This record gives sequence, C-alpha cells and structure tokens, in this order.
Amino acid sequence: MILRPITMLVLIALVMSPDLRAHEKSSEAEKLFESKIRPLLVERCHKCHTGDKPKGGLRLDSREGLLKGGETGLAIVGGKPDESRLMKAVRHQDGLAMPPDGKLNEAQIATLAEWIKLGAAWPGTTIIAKTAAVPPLSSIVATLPNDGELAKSLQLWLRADSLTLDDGDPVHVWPDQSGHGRDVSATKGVRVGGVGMPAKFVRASALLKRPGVRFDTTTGLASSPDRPIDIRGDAALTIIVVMNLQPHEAQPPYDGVIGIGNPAWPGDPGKPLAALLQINRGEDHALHFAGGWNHDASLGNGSFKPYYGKPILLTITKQPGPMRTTTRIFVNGIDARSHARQSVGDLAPDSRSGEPDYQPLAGRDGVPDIQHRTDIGAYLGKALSWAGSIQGDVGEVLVYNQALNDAQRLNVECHLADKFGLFFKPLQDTAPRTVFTMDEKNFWAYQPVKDVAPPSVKNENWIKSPIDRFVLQQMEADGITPAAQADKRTLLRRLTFDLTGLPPTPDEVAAFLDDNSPQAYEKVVNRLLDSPHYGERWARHWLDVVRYAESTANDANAVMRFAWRYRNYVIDAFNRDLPYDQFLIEQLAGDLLPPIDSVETNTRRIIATGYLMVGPKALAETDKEQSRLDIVDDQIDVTGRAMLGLTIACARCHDHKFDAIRTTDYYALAGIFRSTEPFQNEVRNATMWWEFPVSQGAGKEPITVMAPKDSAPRNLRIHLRGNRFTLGASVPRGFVQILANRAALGPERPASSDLTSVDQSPEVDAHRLANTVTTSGRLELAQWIASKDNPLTARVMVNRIWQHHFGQGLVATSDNFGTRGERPSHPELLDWLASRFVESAWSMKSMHRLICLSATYQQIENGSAASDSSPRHPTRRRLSAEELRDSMLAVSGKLDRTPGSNESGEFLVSKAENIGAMILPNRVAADDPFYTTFSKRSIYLPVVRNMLPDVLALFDAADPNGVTAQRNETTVASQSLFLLNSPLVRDQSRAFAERLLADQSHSPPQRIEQAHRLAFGRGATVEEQVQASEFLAAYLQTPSVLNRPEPERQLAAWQSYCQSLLCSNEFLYVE
Amino acid sequence: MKAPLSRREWLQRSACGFGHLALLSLLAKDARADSLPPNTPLSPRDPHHLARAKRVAFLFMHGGVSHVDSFDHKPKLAEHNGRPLPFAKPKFEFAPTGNLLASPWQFQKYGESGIEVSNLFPQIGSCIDDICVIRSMNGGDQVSHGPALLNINTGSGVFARPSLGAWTLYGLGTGNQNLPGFISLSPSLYHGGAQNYGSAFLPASFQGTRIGDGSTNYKDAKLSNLTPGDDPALQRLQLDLLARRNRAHLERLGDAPQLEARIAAFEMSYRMQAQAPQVMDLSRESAATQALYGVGAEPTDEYARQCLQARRLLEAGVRFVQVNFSYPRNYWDAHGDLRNNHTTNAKKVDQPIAAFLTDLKSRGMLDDTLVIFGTEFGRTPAAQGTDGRDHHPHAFSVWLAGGGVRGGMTYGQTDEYGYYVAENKVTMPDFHATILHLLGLDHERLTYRHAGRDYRLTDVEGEVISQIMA
Repeated sequence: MILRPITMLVLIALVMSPDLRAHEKSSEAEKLFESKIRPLLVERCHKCHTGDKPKGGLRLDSREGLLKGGETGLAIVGGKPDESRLMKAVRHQDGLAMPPDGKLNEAQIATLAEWIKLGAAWPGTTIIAKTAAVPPLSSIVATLPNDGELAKSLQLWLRADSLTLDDGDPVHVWPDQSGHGRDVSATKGVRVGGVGMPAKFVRASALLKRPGVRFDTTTGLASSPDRPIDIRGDAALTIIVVMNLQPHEAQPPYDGVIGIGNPAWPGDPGKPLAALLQINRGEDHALHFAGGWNHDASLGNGSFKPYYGKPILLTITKQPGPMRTTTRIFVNGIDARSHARQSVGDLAPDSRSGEPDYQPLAGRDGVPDIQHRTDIGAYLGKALSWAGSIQGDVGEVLVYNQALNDAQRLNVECHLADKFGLFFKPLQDTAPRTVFTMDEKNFWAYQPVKDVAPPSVKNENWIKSPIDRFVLQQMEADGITPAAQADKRTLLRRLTFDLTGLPPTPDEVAAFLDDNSPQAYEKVVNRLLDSPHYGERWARHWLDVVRYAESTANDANAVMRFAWRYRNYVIDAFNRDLPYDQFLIEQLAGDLLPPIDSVETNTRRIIATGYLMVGPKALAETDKEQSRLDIVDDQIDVTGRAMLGLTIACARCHDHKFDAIRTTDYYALAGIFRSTEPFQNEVRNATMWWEFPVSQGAGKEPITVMAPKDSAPRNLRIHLRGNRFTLGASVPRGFVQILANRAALGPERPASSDLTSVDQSPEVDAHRLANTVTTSGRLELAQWIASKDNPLTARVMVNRIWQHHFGQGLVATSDNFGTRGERPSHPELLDWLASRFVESAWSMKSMHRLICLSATYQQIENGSAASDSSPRHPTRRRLSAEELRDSMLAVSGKLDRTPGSNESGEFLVSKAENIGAMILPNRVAADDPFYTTFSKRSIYLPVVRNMLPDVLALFDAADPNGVTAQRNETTVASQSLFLLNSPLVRDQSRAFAERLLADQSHSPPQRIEQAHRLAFGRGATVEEQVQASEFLAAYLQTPSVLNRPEPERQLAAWQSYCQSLLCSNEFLYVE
Repeated sequence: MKAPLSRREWLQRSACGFGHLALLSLLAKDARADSLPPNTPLSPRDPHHLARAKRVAFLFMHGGVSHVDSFDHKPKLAEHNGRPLPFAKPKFEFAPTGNLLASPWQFQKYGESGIEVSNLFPQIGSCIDDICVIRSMNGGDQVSHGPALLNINTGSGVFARPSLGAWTLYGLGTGNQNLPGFISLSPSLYHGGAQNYGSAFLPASFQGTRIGDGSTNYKDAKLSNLTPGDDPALQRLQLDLLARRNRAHLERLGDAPQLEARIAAFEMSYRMQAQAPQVMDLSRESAATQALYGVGAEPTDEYARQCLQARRLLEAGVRFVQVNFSYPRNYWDAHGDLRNNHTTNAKKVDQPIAAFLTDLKSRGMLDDTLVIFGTEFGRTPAAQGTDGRDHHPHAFSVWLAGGGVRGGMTYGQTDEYGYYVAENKVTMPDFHATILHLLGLDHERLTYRHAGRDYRLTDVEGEVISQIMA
C-alpha cells in the first residue's frame, strides 16, 4: 500500500538540540552532506518539501527550513538517528512512509542515518530559529491499561464505567476487568468481623461527572482471599487510582484507599507486610504508602490536604528494595515529591521552571515482605472493622505487579486523564508556550475600545447627532460636502424597510406627510422600533449569522422540529430589546444561568441555547467522535465570527495563518464546546439530539425544547493537522489568549516586524480555566465574550447594525476583524458607537435611534458611482428575498401579520419520512405548495438545508450551512422567470387585482391610483395613468382574451397589470 | 462608457466581494458570446491556459458503483471467494463486512487497448478506446452517501463549499446567455440535495439549475418557472409595460447599472422561455438518434432522455451538465442483492452512455467535451450479508473521456483484491484539479475570497494527473 504524502506527513517538527549545534562544524559531516545528503534531498525530497508551502510544513532545502521544522513532532534528533522521525519515515516505521514515491534504498538510508549521527551538519548559513512555533507531537500515547505487554502484569482493574447499575444503586459487586476474577464485593471478600457495606454507584460523580463508586464512612469492598493478588515478598508493583476524596472525621483517623496484604503491626523493626495507600488524617493529612502500620514512604505532613475535593489521578510505583527509596508517587502525572506542599492541580499549566526540586520521601528503610491474609483479599475503604474509611468517589483502580516505567505509566495515565477529563500536566507541558509578536499585540482590533469625544467640524448646522461629527470631519478633510436630506416620502420608505422589512402603508405615508412637527421623524423611528415587525426584520440578520435552519443537512437532513423556538426567541429578544450582552450569554449558556423566579425567563434561557443546536450535523458519520468534533468546529466558527469577528476555526489544523490565534486557542475553546452534549446518545449512529420537556409551572403543560446539556468536562488535545488520531499536547479549556492580555499591553509600544522580538511576558498563558472548574466552562466563556472589557464584542455588533443601515459596515468585513479583514473606515466612530452601546446597557434599539436620527443616515442616496465613499444609505438596495415576498403579500392584502409559531416545524414533520427511528428525514421539495400558500412573514417559512424554496434561494437568501455576514445581491434571469411565472407571484398579483376590484364603485383611474399608493407609497403620474389604460385596453382586446367570460376577463387584465407593478424596479428596490 | 474590465481585473474585483460586481450590467441584448462584455458573471471568460475541454458532462452514478464488478477486474476475488481478507480492514467501516465475494460478472477485453470491462457494461466497453479508466480513486473518510456525494461534487464532505459546476462557471462563464450555464438533470433531493450543485459562498449566479429531481421520472421534468403563466402575446404586452415603467424609472434616477441589468434580465428570461423549450424538446431529434440512445425503450428510456438532453444542452452552449442517475428511484447502493441491483441499473445506463459518447464523437464534439463517469464511492470486495457489498471509499473506479483525455488507458491500480489503492492514488482534490486543468483552469489560481481567506475547490491539496492527458 502506497501512502500519500498528505496523509503521511505526520512528520516533523525539528527542535534545536544541543547535539546538533555541537556538531555544526564537523568537516566530515559537511563532506558527507555535500557528497551524499544534499543530492539525496534534492532528488527525493524537494518535490514536496520546498518553497512557501512545503508539505507537512517541513522544508528540506535549507538549514533554516530543517531547523524550523514541520507541523508534527520532532523530525531529527541530532546524533540520534534511531530517535529521529525522519529516519522512521524513510525506514517505514511507526506508520510513517517517506518518500511517497518509493522507499530509499538501504545505502541511502544508512547514509542519512550516518549524517544524523554525526550531528546533521548543514554547511553555509547558520541562522537558527528562536522559537518552534508548532506543537511537537507528544510522545505520550493514550494506552488502555491492558494494552499489549501491560496485560501480563495487570492484577486488578476496577472501572466504575463498567457497572450497569442505576444511579444511586448499591454496588454489591464491582467486577474486576483484569481477567483474574478478583471482583471486589461487600460480602464475599469480607469473612471474619467484616463490616463492609456496599458503596453506591453514581452516574455523574464528583469525578467531573463521570461514573464513580461513592464510598462513605461505612462502606468498604474487598476481593476474596481465594484469589490473592500476585504481589508477594519484595515485589515490584504499581497502583493507580482515579478518585475524589472528601475530608471526614470518622475513626480510625486515616483514609484507607486501597490495601494489599497484611497490614498487621509486625513489631519494630519488622518488615512491611502489605502495600497500603492511605492518608493519615491524624498527622495532618500526610499521604503514605505504607507496608503495614509503619509509615514507610510518606510525602509528609499536609501533602494530601490540597487534593481533598478534587478529582485526581494518583499513581504509586515501587521497585524491589526498601520502600522509602524505591517508591515514587505521582499526582496528575507529575512526581509529587516536587510539590510536597502545594497542589499540583492548582499549578498554572505554564510553570515550567526547569528541574523540579524533589523532596525525599519520609519513612523507614524496611524491605517489604508482602504476605496475604487468609480472611480478605485486596480491600478498599472500610472493608474490615479496623480499616480506615474513605469518603468520596472512586472511578478507577489499577494494580500491576511490576513497576511501570515512565513511558508505560504516562501512557496509561494519559488514557485515564483523557477518559476522566483530568488535568494532566505532562501533556500540557508539551504545548508550545504562546508568544505574540509586537505586531500581533498592537493590531487595532485587540486594543481596548477608546471612548473618543466627537470632533468639532466647520459645518455645525449639518450636525443632528454626534455620529455626524465623525463622518463630517472625514468629509471635510476629503473636501466632500454632505448630500442633501432625502425627502419625507423617501425617508419613510427607507426607514420602514430598514427597520421592519415591510413597505409603509398608504395610511402611514399620509400620516407622516401630514405631520409637520419637528418630532415627526423621530416619532416614526420610535413607532417602527416599537413595532413587532422590527424583531422579525432584525432577527433575520442574526439568523443569517448563526446559520439558522430546521434540518440537519448532510445524509439524513433530519427535521429539527423545535428549532423554531430558537427563531422566535431571537425575534422576541430584538423586540424586547434584550441587552445584547444578555442575549449572547443566554445563547451560549442560558441553561447554566442560575434559575430565577420567573419560569418564563428560565425557559427562554434554555431555548436560547438552541444557538448551539441549529447547525448542520452529520448523523450518519460512522466515526462519531469525528462528527462531534465537526459540530464543535461549527460552534467555534459561528461563535468566533458572529460574536467576535474572528475566524478562529482557521486554527483547527495549524496556528492561524494571519491572525494571532493559535491551535492552543482553538482546542481551549473546543474543550468547552466538547464538554457540552447536543446528542442524547453520543456514540450511536444516526442518533437523536436533545429534545426535552421544560416545566411551565403548576397547571401548565410542559413545552418541548431543543437544547444541549452540559456534560462531563474535558480538555482536548491538539489535533495535529486537525486529525483526531495524531494528538499533541493537551490544552486546558479557556478563551482566546490574544484578547486576554489587554491590560498588560500599551498601544504605544513600537510595532516591529522582527519575528524574533517576541514578547516573553508571563501573562500570555492566561485565560485558561482553572483546572478545578467542574463545568464545561461555557458560562465563563459567555461572560468573557459579553464583557465590556472584551475589545471585540461591542465593536462587532455596532458594526453589524451599521452595516444593515448603510449597506456596508465601518469595518467592511463584518465577520472578520482580523488582519485579512478590512480596517475600519472611521475607527474613532466605531469606538464611540461601541462605547455608547455598552453605556446604554447594550441596547440595540438605542443604536438604531442614534443611527437613524443622524444627518448621515438621512442623506439622499449616492446615485452615481462617485469617489465619495462616505457612509450613506446604500444605493439601490434591492429588497432581500424575505422583504420581496413580504412586500408582495402586504401589497396584495394577503399578509397575515400575526407572529409565527410552530407552523414550520409541524409542516416539516408532517412531510417527513418515517423510517422507524427518532430522526425524521426531510422530504419537502423546494416547490412544495406550502411555500406558495403560507401567508405569514417569510422569517416564519420552514428553513430546510439544501432545499430552500425558490423565492429564498433565487434572491440570495443566506445559505444556512454556514455563517453569512453579508448577503450577495445578484441579478440573474432565473429571478425574472420566477417573477413572471411562479405561482407565488402570480397568486399575489391576482390577490392584488382582486383587492383593487373589490370596490365596484371605483373607476379604473382610481384603481390605478390605489395600486400605486399600495405598491410605491405614491400616486400615479399622468403618464402612468395613460400607460395603464393603454395596457388594459390592449390586453382586453387581445384575441385570446376576448372570449373569456367576465369578470374573469377583467381580473386577468388587472392581474397582469398588478404583476407588472410587482416586477418593476421601483418595487424591487428600496429607493 | 467604461472600458471593459480585463479578466485579471475582473477576478480582482470578484475577490473584493460580488455585490460590487452585480452592480454591473449583467446581460447583453444579444446572446452570442462574442458580443458580450467581459465583465459579467456569466459571460465567457478566458481560461488560465489553453483549454482542452470547453464543456463538461458529468454522468453521476448515485449510490456507489462497485468497482470490482465493473472496471477493476480482480481474479483473486474469485480465487479466494469466501475467504477472509488477508490484511486489516479500515478503522471505520460503514457496517461490518464478512469474507471476500467473487464478482458475479465476467470480464472481457475490449477495443485495441484491451482494457477489461465486466459484462455489466458491454456497450461502454465498446467505447473503451476513447475512455481513460482511473482505478485508484480514494474518497478519503467519507463512508456515507451524504458526505461522499458532497465530497465528489464540492470537494468537502463536511463544510458547505461551492460545487464543481459552480467553480467552473465562476472560472469560465457560459456560452449561451439564454440558458443557464450549469444544469443538473434529475439531481437527488437527498444526500446533500441542492448543495451538490449549489454555489455556497459564491454568488447565486453560479449555482446549478435543476431540471427535475431524482424522485420523479425525468420524462416529467420541467425547468421551474419556465412555463409562461399567460399566453405569450399577453406576456409580451405585460413585458412592454414593465419595460416602459422601468425605463421611465431609470431616467428619473440616472445612471444605475443594476437597474439596467434587471431590465435586461427580464428580456432574457423571455427569450429563455422561447429557446429553452426548444432545446428541451427531444422530439426534434431524429428517430434514429432517439433509438441510438434508447429513448422510448425500456429500461433505457429515462437515462437515454437525460443523456440526449445533455447533448442538446451542451450543443446549445451550456457549460456544465450533470446527468444524474439518482436516489431514490435509481440507485447503485447494493447492500444486498448485488447481482439484481447492478444488472438492472447497468441495463438502464449502458446503452445511453455509449450512445452519448458515439453521438458526441460523430458530431465532432467529443474532442472538446469532457465526459466524466463518476460515483461517490465503490463497494467492498468483502461481502455484506450473503450477496451484497457495502460502501467503500478506500478505492474505486471512475472514468473520463474526450476533452483532452487520453483514451484507451487505465491509470492507477488497486491491490489484488481491489481493497486499497496500490499505485497512483487519486484523491478527490487530485480528481478536481485534473478536471479544472482540462478546462484550462489552474486549481491553485481559481480562488474566491470569503470569510477572510481565499478558497479553492481543492482547498490546499490536489495535483493534476498529467499522465492521462492526450
């Protein structure tokens, strides 16, 4: 099997090794290089590993390239060919195979090995990269406790997740998974004087919500003495326990976690007869590994105290020999002697201060002689009257009869840490230290929002709002004069469409034209903002950004029956002017907010998290974890772009190419989202997402909502190249670091493009959640995003509001505030607006008021493509797909203005296919008659992924498969065909005609006048009257019409006339 | 009058976002390509380099055609029938499979090239000297239909990306402004649905236009909204009124290219109403031609109509036609009853496809028409149940013909069981890069700026397979 370069480039990062430098000048090596190595590299490697985009990120055409390394792991270790991944690749070891077009011959391989052995010299330039910006492939590989050779020494393996009990059930028997049948039980192992009571099974235990066995001061479990663990005499052994203990006061004053052998007092200086893991509360919580009642290997006073109440991974290994000197104790993967008086779990993940300062273990130097008892095997907790009880949860217990070496131990620990979501320092230590260049730190978007005073201008008369000062200042600098104010009719149509997505009614036009008070305009703005149609218009903008739909896309395209609740939540949030910070927090983490007195509010907050649910889902993906990670990616992409204007998802496979976002940031966020569960059964294929009833209070029916559930928290490892099978360092859950350090940075620092001038300030690894946080961290993330100190959140939203009033944002790329996005055209104005936004308690309606009342907004349109690029209402804004449909219904008189409810979801369910599963594949076609007959506003139409109705798909509605920050506006013939021939437009034209013909007393000119007032908010001109009469006459005289019966004939003529109005540019464009 | 934009400028502009471009006049009064300004989304554009193919017919076989029963003969399967695969199966299987299953079909050498084809496809076999069979396709991890369909049609099984046809239109425009430039015949409503011919973040102008869908017989398919709602004379009256209104409106407002474009679009759609039915009308073909394809005969009628339709559309200047044999009515997904499923399906398509190639050739169109026979994945050499095969993206066969492709050759190999690719693996990005290359487009240069980066059909991968070029 030939392996492709792209899949096989699971090579290669090269870190500078001392050996490499030491041999730099070796002339023999240089000779070898020039005669053999360089030609070999040129011939066999350069095809892929050169240039700006080398495969796997590895360049093999220069020393710098070699030193800088590739994307994965260590490429070569100077002097050590056998440890170099480059050699493994050319030797086709460890699943690597290079070059892809055929293996090197043995001589070539030997030469390459020789060159590396000599230090991999590369004559010529000697520039050495200062930092390795890519995470090395960790040498730690999560390994099952019984994997391969390990199975031979595995003596006991208790897994809480192997228990098939109900939550709270007593654990009478905890089966041993080692294959030796050493089940521990509350009865069987306890024969004489036993007091063991069954422990309790807890499905979501204090071990980060994973299954656990809960012990209290009366419970104990033991194995039968008939099957003693094969650890005797001065034996080597390893004990690993995943647990979370609570302090308590029961006697005797020590916690007996696990014991093997005879704990009897052998007499001083007797031999230790057992291996006991215990915490002596009487001596201030020292952690002992004891051979009996002797405290043979102890971490000393207080050593366990910090670990109470925390999930930990405790490992003890012992070689043959005196207990004190052969025992090693590890907590969360690191030697506990280096942290005897502090909690490893509390250490910042970046504290890598050289060699740890090891304390020797306290105790005696007795050589153990482990002997088994006749009444009991291994024992946990209070299995016998004299045993020490424990209180707390135990998730997993492993006993080996060998001392695992570091690699074996770390691999098994890694498996347990992954499984339990535990903090595991050795994996985090391999994460690259995050450093930023000054350029990155000084990038405008990451600077705090500055509240600038509006500038003074020459033409004070023009100013209606402080906004105008910023705009006019720029115009005056550019020598541009403001345009005239638009007329009242134009302004009303503009405002009504912009704020409600509907045309003004003839009555509204008349009322505004008749109101000559100075407040007339402001009154209209307020009336429109108070209209329920405001939310229906502005929610649509948000739904575009958060890729709202009611089906899953992909294989099944299953109907999401209750997605509409989220849609209505968004509409309601805009209408009630829910503060934007609350709006964000509720969508990200409404379910985690503490419940308040209002049932309605609590329910609303759960519905809001539909935000996390409405994205595309691959239900048929065979690799379920991959499917989950893709959903996480979607959530990160949407959250980044919608809320922060950052393209964070770019950092899934590599550090962001352009922005200061690292893979560590991505996986810090991914951990948060991965700790939230959208599916009812995350391992089953074609599984159902969460839909559950929420109580509405006494006497009311509960309602069903679609929302995720916070699940067991976990930290993710970096997926090299986004591949979940090549795992790098583990990253604690957290936020985007570049935004974390604002306080520490002054914008006045000089920019520099020198990549070597990285800032090594220690705060850069901040913004990671403490390892003790036992929830997903979603709420913390939401609060961090919705903070006024976040430099992006307010800016991004005021920019969106601006964009939808002016056609283009102050930052033109409204979902990308990164370096590849546009710079703000008016940075001070952007910050001033962001400041007002926060100051107004994040009121979106306040922003509309500010903008709509400005002279800037009230200018006439920029009719020609002049050089004036100052903000103006967009020229010839075409109605959006929804506005177009809604306007036709409004004008025809058929628009049902009542808010939509569950119609879309129920319709989709009624049409869906029953495949005998909980999921219901969508079976609605794009031209289903429902789309023609439904008469509520377009936002309430069903949104089926990959099957949008024509009116939406043709007129550039957002594709709900991804984030749409700004819609395209295209003009194609298929739109015209739709306007001419679709049932929707023809039906509405007919209804419009019937409306005109309803009052039989009206004359044709009156009808034409009425038609214009309805469609355009103005009367017909004389010319239009003439045209219309001529048209109607010609139509009625056409041979095919002459014979039609009345009133059908009249109606057909008027229908055709009305359709020409609905198709006209004056109708299709706002102005 | 502004000078027309050069292609380079055009691409630069499009890179800035399309709203901008849509403001420009879109449609010329004359539908002939040479009279169109170069600055409209659908008007023809120069390729990056000399194009070997000017148009594409993508014959898409939905459900997964078994490679070891069609174009990739594996005698070892018969020899080891019922025995286990002697090496490890992939990490993820769609469903567990059992032991090796011999092909129920015989293979035979065809043409001067002597390439083996099973007796499922005797007529395609007879065209083999015009065909290049790629036996080393690899569909990555996409084991289920939806993602796999999206993968072959859009280059990504996971993310929403523009389709191959949309990229082609974006790169080259189209020759006939009275017809859509990218048409998908009978696409499935499922497994990605419209996303398979959609434009995703590219402007909607580049999305495929659907005629019919996989759920209804193509015989009854219509181009939506093409049938005039009123009699043509009445509609002409109406359009004249509309044009007068719009022109008066335009005069009031002055220079407004998008309003002019809208006026032109109505005129064009009127012409499309007239021209498209003619192109769609298969009865204009001679009885002999219809018989050649198998129109009017069963079981070939439906796919014959589609293939004949495709030829008529391509002839009329349509750039990209996808001819779908698709779910739920026509479907190669032989989890069980392989023999019956593949026999039935092959009988429906073999003659129409051979006729399509023959017809193109006799009209001199095959030289610059790229014909692609593709499927979303192959089927497992190991049995599913007793007589079925499961999804198999790890290795499968597709073929190309015409449009600069060397006929009578095979490219790539699978192992002796047809399980994995053994030589010259062709990934989906390689496949797409090669198609674009034949169309004169450099897959690394055909980019579109979206969400802060330049997107390509081939993402960051893809190598052109130059060995298969004539």
